[in-house]
Amino acid sequence: MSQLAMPLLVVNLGCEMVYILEQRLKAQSIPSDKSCKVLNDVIRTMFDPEYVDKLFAPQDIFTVSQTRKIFDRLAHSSIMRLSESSMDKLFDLMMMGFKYQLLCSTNLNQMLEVTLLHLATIRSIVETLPDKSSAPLIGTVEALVTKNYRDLPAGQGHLLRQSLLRFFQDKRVKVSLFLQEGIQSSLGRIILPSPHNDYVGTVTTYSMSGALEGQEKFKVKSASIDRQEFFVHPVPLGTNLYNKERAKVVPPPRKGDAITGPLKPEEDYKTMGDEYADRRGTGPSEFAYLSALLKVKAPAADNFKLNIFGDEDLAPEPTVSTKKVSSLAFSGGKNDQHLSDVMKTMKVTDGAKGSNAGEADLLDLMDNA
Amino acid sequence: MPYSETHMLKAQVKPSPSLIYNNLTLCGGDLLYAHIRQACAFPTSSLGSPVLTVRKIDSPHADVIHSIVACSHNAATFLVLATDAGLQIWDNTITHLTHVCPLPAAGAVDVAPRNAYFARGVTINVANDGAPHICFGTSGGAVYCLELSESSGKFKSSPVALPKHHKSPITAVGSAYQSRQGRWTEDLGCHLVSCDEEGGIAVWLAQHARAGGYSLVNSIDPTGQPVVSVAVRRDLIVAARLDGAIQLYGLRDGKLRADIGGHSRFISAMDIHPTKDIIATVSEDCTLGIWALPIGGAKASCLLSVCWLHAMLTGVAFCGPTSDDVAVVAYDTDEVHVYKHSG
Repeated sequence: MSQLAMPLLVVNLGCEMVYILEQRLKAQSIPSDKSCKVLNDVIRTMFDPEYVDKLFAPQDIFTVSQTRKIFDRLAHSSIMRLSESSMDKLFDLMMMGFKYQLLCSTNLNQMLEVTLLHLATIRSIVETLPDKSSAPLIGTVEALVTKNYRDLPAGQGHLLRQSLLRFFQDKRVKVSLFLQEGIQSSLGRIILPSPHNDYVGTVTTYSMSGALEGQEKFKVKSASIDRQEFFVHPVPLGTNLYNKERAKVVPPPRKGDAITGPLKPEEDYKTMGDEYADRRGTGPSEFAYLSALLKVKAPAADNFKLNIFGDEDLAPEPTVSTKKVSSLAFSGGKNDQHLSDVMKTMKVTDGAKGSNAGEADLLDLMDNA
Repeated sequence: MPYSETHMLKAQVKPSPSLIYNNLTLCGGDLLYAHIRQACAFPTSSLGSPVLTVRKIDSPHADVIHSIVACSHNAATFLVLATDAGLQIWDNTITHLTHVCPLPAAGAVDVAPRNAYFARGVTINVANDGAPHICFGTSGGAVYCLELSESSGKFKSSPVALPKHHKSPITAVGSAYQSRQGRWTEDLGCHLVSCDEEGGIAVWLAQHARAGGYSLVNSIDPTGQPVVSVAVRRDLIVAARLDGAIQLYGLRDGKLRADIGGHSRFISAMDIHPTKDIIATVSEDCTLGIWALPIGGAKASCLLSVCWLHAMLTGVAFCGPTSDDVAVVAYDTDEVHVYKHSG
């Protein structure tokens, strides 16, 4: 197992989280000073130097539940509060985002490229904020990522890839955005890149002395399949797919699912937002899609008050709720002490203390917006 | 053509296989694969049903599995799991854990900080003195052999290290005996082949399976592309490399004899037919290839080329009554596909 997986995991998942949060804050027209605070707090916590140091130390990869706990804490590092259900959905989106980026990488260097693009995009988000104080932290992480992963030999890189994909095994969620843009098939499978190149099917033989004896080219199946059946999404892996200003991608018509066919019922995949067909559109349909994704507007039968992620906790006081977040069960393992150490280094601001005293929680933000 | 894309069965298997090298092996009447820390088995006899009953092997050890290999010697077959903790050796019914071989502590010092210490790559070999033994590699670059006592049917308590050679983690080991699935022929020889993450290949000769029994006879320089799976057939090394190439080298001179462009990226598994000079390879690029090797005057040919859309293939195994059918599994996919031989 590779001991270099954790930085890539946390950085890439964290950047996906910031993409989603940024988009939600804009969609909800949250005042810019409040949005800026949320984003800066999350980025600052995620890239805190002491935390980053611990992250980049060689270590076993955490379990999914342990990693979820880290991000639960990160998401709550500011004035924003999420219900467990919203956190579930956020985490699913983050997981599926990075999973598809890994699966669609055709060479080992792409893991580094995806990570650096994530960081560069986060930096560009920070550059648009009035408070850019978290930007230098991103630079430090970029340097560490480059130093640790740039010259990784193929064998090490592939072991890293296997370790990461082991983490994502059995995580299968249909994401409306991915379905609509042809990243996932209608059955929820992530569409993989083409297997064809000129080398495949070539057989070269050599004599005992090492001289070239002959070369022959055989027909292979991959050469006859329409390239459109494979991953053809035009944006670089790691791009912010949640950016509203991005041009819509229309996937090509594919026969793929008819060829492979489902063996298991579709309900075996978790589905998010299936009931909302349109991702794009003005006003209600886009809001409806995002609402379904992030449970902004809950049906009348639910008791959630409006919030970015529909927080259950309706406590009106401006301080951070002292109610314990629903515990996330995870099995104890040899990483528990290390996880505990990592969590201690995460400087999560307590809203009741210091300069954050008096900051409103998100419910109040909505009331004041 | 003996194989056809349409002459294929598929069945549901659950849980899904992990993405490790060579994640499918035939042990007795069962096909086995690893799901993270769990070995899973389903009988080949049930492959006609759309849903298979997959048996999860009940092990007291919950270590990540890096290799799952069936090793046969005479009438006996063992299932060997190479894990984070060492080896688990099961009987052919995969109900009895007959031997546990912890990773040798001495080998831990050679493990780079960026790697955990684990075992990977398993093969069976027979030494010149007739001693059968299991060989395995480690992430410290060491290769060990563990002798099987034919009189007692038990493995020796401690493995013996081969001389130091590799400087990076072992990715695959192979032998002619393994390639014949334990069916002895006169021309098999006693060579072991070991491969590392830098793409280097070493050829060893086993005089016996005790300390000092192995000597290095040949090596092929690292190419930068690790060998994911290796077999030995008729004095040739058949090496499937991560970048998609399947290469044949002379066992004794280390010279490249043939290069087959099998896949576009990330080969994940190769199996060699026990009696015919054909191989099956699969890759993360969704493709399976079955090739007749250019050996003994025969010409290379492509017997089957298929693409399993949206599936990163991770295991392949010859199976069936004559070992001519080819079973394939994919990472994170709850299906097995079997290509039937129409012979």
